[in-house]
Amino acid sequence: MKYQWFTLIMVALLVVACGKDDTTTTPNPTGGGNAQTATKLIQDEFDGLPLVIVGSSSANYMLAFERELPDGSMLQFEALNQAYPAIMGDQEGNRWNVFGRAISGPRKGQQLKPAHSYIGFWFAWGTMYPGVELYEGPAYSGDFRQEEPAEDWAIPTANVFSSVGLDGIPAVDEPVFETFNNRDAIENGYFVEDDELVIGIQMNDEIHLYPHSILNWHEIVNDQLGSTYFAMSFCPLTGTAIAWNRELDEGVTTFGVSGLLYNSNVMPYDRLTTSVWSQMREDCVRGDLIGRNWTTYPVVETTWATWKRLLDSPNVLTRATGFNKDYDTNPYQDYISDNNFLAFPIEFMDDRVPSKERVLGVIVNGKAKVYRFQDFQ
Amino acid sequence: MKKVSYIIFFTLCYLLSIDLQAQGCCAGGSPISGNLNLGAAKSQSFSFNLTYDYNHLADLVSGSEELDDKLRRRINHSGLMRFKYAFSDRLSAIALFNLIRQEERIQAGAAVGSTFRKAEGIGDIITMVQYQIVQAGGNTLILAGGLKWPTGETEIANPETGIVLNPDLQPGTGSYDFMWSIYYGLEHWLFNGNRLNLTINYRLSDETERFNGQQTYQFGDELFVDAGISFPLVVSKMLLYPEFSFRYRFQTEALTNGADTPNTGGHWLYITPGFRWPLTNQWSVFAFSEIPIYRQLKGVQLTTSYRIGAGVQFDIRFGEEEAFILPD
Repeated sequence: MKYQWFTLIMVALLVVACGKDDTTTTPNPTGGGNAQTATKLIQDEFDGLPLVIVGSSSANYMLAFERELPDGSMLQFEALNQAYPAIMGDQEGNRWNVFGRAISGPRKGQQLKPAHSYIGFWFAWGTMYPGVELYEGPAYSGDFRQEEPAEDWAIPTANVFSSVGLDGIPAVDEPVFETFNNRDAIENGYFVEDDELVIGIQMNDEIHLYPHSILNWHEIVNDQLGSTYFAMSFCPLTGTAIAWNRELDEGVTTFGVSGLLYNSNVMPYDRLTTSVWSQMREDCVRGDLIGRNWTTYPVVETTWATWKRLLDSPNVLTRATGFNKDYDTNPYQDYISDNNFLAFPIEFMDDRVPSKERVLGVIVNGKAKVYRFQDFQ
Repeated sequence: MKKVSYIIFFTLCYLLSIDLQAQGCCAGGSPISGNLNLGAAKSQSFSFNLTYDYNHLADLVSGSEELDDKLRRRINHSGLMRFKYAFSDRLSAIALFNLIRQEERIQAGAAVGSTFRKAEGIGDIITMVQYQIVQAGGNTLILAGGLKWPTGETEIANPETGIVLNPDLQPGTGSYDFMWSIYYGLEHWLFNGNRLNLTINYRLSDETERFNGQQTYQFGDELFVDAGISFPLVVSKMLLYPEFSFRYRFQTEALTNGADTPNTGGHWLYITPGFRWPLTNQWSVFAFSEIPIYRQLKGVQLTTSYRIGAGVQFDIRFGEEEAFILPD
């Protein structure tokens, strides 16, 4: 009998202790704490261009910058750990953030030139850049043959497919952003989960963030930062996020989702001329503007947890999109994790890497080189 | 006692069908499984049935929750011709032909306007053979089996871009499918003149090729269970047969290159009120509707808001009536 009382008392003490812990936890003002996230970097050269590739497998980002500054200085970088928002430093004592901005040191305020790069699924890089170079990986040994472009198209149409009708996936034309501070994040709860991927773009000192859970349903956000009109696009089937200037010679336009896919990659259309563009080719492939390229802007993709460590006050696209979508549901379900499932056929399947592995592709002079997260563990 | 056992049988069938595991698919093509209209036929009789079927799809459903999102709307018009000939009191053959027009309208907002696409053409043809196992004491039990032939068009392109429209807009599915059905009818159930009907249809989908042969696709297998009652009713000196039934539909997930296809498959439960009006001994007209009352879908799907249809049927008998008595 006395042991039963002893057990009851111990259980009661345990409950009280646990309850106290839960209620007295102080929100960490940095949002994600100072958890160790190993940052690694690779100083590389691709097609004669000196590059620094910096990334962290645990923090879930990879970025590429040119190492040579406009004044001709060649920087040698080193990775920084537990130094957020700085992720790397150099021999001059500068510390740089994810947008390539010097946040301390003699070059404070200066900007590294971002290499033209973005993250996407391996199969997309393999088919859009046949024989793509793989960092410390085997060379492509297969054969590929590109067909001639179809009439009125800049691309062969054998792998252009229709998924839905024009604007069947509705772009967000009047995005609403909300600035959160980290106290709100913890006390009121974000609609973004810590492990959710979020795309970020910076122009001057303003940053906009776009959660995948919203982009999955809209694919394009027609946005503006300062006086720059741009479209943020995300293709859930290829996992690629690219932002471009939507100020054409003909005027400012908005972009919509045409419902067509080329090599499983989204094909936006401009609403000024209804010309069809290719997201990963970054040019117009059909219509009045055929052959026209767009100006892209660098984007950063990482998890919400990492963004909370990087930014004091993230400015995030909200669910007030003007559409009632089930943002808690991923319409692509297990697509990302199933390496055997491609929704639409592609021209070349390169099997050096699992098809849905997220990799960073760097594009120089029309050629691409790919880096894997395993290089940044 | 017999009636009680039939009620139990019917109830069990119904409940079992609801408890099947979820999956499914929004298939292209016409609503053929719901238009087979199995039933007893006398020897050397012929029936011709012409049906117009209107399927309005505007409900975007995530799981079991309908989203307040009317951006996209699909309307499927189908004209179906069904021929049935009875070689004997037991054995009949059925052929079902159809013409389909599928429309899609997207209303993307005031600033953007709306877009419209359509595809129309001949759909897949079904041929079936039915065999009447029992007809005694007001009971009818029929087994049927057949094949759906890939006669429907699957390569209709957008005339502006030349790009083939998405497969779920095409009139045909491109696949050979096997179909089987069980029909059970009970006359004078509960009261005189009425008829209890239970039909189970199952379609086993075969694989087809898409996108210039670069991809294999297999629509989900489909199960229909219809359980309903019809009874005579005199309205303004006209004899009508109102019909009321529950329709349960279950479809497994479609497969793309052997892998599950997102946003396909699920469970649907409808009520399907309708009526039949015999004009003469040979001619009758009918109308039906289908209203969803429960849906549990895989992922997010655009699905039927309501479905209505109407048609005319002609029946004629060429031979003498034969005695047909089966052991009870």
